[in-house]
Amino acid sequence: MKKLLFFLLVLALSSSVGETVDFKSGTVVLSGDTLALAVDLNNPFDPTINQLTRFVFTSKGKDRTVQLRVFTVSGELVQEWPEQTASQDVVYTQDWDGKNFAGDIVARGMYLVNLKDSAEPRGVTRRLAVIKQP
Amino acid sequence: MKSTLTAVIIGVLFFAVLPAGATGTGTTAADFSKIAVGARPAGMGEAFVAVADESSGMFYNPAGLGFLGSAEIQAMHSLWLGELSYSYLGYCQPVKASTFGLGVQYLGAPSTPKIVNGTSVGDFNYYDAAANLLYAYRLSDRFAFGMVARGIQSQIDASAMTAFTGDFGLLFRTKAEGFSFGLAGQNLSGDMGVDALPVTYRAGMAFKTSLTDNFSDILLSMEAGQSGRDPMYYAVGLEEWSGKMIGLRVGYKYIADERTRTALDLLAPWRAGVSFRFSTLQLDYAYQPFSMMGDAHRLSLSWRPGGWTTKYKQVPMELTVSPRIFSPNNKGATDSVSFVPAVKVIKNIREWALTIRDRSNTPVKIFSGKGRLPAMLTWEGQTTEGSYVGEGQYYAQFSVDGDGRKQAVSDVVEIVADLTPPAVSLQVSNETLSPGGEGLHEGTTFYISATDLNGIDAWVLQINNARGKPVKIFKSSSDKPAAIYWDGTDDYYNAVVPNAVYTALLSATDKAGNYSTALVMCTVSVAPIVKEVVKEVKVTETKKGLVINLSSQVLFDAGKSALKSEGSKALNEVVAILQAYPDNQVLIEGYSDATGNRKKNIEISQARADNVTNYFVKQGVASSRLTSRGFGADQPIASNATAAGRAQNRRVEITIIKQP
Repeated sequence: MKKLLFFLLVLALSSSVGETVDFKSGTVVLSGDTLALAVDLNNPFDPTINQLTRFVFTSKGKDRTVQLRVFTVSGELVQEWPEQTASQDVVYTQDWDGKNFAGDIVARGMYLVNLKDSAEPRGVTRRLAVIKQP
Repeated sequence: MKSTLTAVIIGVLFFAVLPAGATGTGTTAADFSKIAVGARPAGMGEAFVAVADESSGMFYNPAGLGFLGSAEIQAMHSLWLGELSYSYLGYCQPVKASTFGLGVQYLGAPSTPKIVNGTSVGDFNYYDAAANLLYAYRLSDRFAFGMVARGIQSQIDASAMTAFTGDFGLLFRTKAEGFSFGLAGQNLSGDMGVDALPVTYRAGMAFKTSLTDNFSDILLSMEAGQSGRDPMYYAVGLEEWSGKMIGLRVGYKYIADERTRTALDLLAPWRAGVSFRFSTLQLDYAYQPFSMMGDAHRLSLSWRPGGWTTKYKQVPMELTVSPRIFSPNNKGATDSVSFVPAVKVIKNIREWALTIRDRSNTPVKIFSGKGRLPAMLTWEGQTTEGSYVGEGQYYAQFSVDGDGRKQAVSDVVEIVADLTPPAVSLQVSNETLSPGGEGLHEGTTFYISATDLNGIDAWVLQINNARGKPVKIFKSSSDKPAAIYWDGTDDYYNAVVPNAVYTALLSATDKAGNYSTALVMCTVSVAPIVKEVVKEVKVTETKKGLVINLSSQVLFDAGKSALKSEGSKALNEVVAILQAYPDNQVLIEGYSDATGNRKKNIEISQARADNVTNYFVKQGVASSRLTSRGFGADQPIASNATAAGRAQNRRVEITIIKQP
């Protein structure tokens, strides 16, 4: 049991460490050694009053083909943008109006935005939240 | 088997009618409630609606907890995507056929950078939490329902919102747990602000089998479901327990959405898990790969003070119970019930038990033992404490296990304890009867009624004489009222009984051996016709010779000496005897009774003897052989005090004298 807990602890730590270089872009800090992603503009944001949130990202070390996706907190795909080339060290932005594929404004809650190098199995995930005015 | 088939058909139909392909992901609040709770369900691909046999099952199908065999405390911690952590603590307590439960979930995140109009303003906090109250009820060995009331709290930065909702589920399973079918709805009502909650429907079935020789238990579960306007999912999970110690599981959850499948890698639908069980503790771990977002890990720890129900392979057995109705009152009639168990399939019996429960399902008596099966068990209606049970229905069930992990459970047999004797009534139409007389009541009629809630075994009507000895018996086993006519005759001689007072006694016995009696008196008053029974011809051998005694009544009218024509038959018999002894001298002697004048009596007896002699001569007997004489009342052979005696004295004696 101890071994198992230790194993889990290692897994937990490995998913949250590894930031070596920091890039400052606007108000957010882009961190990561391969891909860097941050949520900008508004977080939490309220899409019901036409607020937007902005994803800021960059590729470190080389040019990459990347894709940006938004998931619900339970892991359901809500929105995605086409694959694009991210040139090394160039900062890209993508605004999101809080709508899903069907064009409906998503519900209140926590969301996960993921930037993935198409050549890699794993991407970078950041949290963003949607709140709505009462 | 039939019900299993029906359930399978219902299951297939349910899957067929679920709407397919609608996509409205992200449009419901409290999305965290879709994250699988419990490492074990997660490891089975979340196909748990037809299983739901642990505390976390309340999120898949609350009905499943209706079959929980022991209290359980369960805790889960999960490392979720996006550095979130998901925790759950649950407690379930079965109370008779009900199970009550409590569960709390908490999804939290480390602080997240807060950005307002492009300006960083520190961090914001987030959590989603829910409190769940469970109630499940087991309607039978096969069927349970369950419900959950849920309060949800959502905190994002300074914004807090709550919602209230509930779940409902049904679970059907076969007695031996080989097959189960579950249906459940989650978050069936309520909103959070302007957003609806994710209403989730699930339907599924599971198959369970035990490979007793390999100490292996296998569970296969599959289900389909849909949450709100999300795409449908289809899930299947397989679990294998070795020696009830180590569990392995694998699951696959297929999302019917092209976009999701393209985005995620091929491994994403898979789940895997492992469990270790040490006595009353169980540790479960589940792994869920999530493609580009990393992996999710779940660790559950469960404590079941009552242990995990041993999964036996069910084999058939027979239990013969006789009688089904008894009277536990130690009165000697149907005081006990015998149980004869028979199990063919189990050779080495480890343990057996006979449990007798009352109507509230509380055991009143348990017989149990190890090793050989008893040939017969007898229950005298005593509880474990030694007192006798009251009236009512009791339910007996026999269980046996052995041969590794084979178990046989008999059908439940109902036994009725009946302490109430039958209700009897006996009436007689007329208390006096005059059989053979000219009266109005030659016989009498007994009106009989004997009834009992559990049926009459038999009733007996016996007519006893003054000494209490039955002279006549009537029997029946009918519950219906009867009218029995008695003509005054007995069973033995089939003749009318002597004048006396008789008692009629009705006794009735019910199926449990309780009996009641009823009594009436009746007087038999017979008007007799007195007949003097005198034998016509009586032959006796004496020292003197062969004496033929002819009653005067047969030969002569009263006071007359002339032979009656009716007498010739008797005399002809005598002639035949005389002719058989042709060389012997014959004495013909007339006698009378002592009534009247002695001289006259001698005269008449002489005249009668002479007339008999003359008749013999006419019939060809040599007159030289015959000597006649009248004695009157002399030499009586019976008392002259009675009519019968006097009749015997009035006679003609013919003596065939022995030859010297």
